[in-house]
Amino acid sequence: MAVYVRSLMDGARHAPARPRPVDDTRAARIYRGACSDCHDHGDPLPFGGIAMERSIGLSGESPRNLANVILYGLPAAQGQTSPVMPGYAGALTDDELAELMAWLRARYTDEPPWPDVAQKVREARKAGEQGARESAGGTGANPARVAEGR
Amino acid sequence: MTTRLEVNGRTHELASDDDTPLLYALRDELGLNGAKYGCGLGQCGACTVLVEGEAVFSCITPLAMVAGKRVTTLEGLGTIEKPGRMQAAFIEEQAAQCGFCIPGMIMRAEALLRANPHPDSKEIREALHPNLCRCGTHMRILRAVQRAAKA
Repeated sequence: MAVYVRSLMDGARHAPARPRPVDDTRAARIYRGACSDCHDHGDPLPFGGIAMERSIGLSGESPRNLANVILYGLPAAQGQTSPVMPGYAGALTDDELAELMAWLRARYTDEPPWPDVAQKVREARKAGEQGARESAGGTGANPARVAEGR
Repeated sequence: MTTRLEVNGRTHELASDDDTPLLYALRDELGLNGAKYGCGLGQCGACTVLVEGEAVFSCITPLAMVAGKRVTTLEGLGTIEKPGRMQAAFIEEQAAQCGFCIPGMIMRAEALLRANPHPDSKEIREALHPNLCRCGTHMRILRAVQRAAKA
């Protein structure tokens, strides 16, 4: 038996190690730096973010929700435990955000690419700026106020 | 791979990996210690700097996200001898207790005045909402921002 098991291991031992190609696109580098710390370590909410595979924002029909969350974050709910996320409206350009969203969709879902990412990013940005102005100069626009169709 | 970006008007090639938070690169590589490490989660605002004039949490912003952009830190607003308008206003109002949150408060207030030179007190409160102060310096901070807006 030992000889048999040992013989099975030979193949594994001699199999050449397959180097994983490093994804060096700008979106992947931004993901590794900004998102991975919270989203890839399985910590419970609110200490960690949801695993990308389970995010409805990524698999949804419209990219608008994902754009809202990345731009404006998720503010803490008053008086109860809730997911929180900082927004990246100040740091990301529209191009960077659109790239990141397309990359997330391709990497974590089986859904086809969104046809209108760049357009939805521009709309989300505009709505957020509008919301900020309406709430008198606030910088942390609430996604609930900039949801699609409002 | 290095990351090129402009900090306080000077171009730098940063050697840190590009998944390094901007805050760490500013403090450890450039010795700009104005921005502070508070929560590390983008929830307290002590690390706030300006990226292209917008207030940004530098602790959650990797270098990959700011490559080629213009960053302004507290040090970029003025010097001890010649403080900027916002710094001068905070000094005038003695708007600091422990002082840890103040660099972030000043940067977010600066971003506000650049976008809206004459905010009312409600606008100032809403703009500073992402920044926390645990000492209770809020009233002095509000007076300082109002003073800077009049300066």
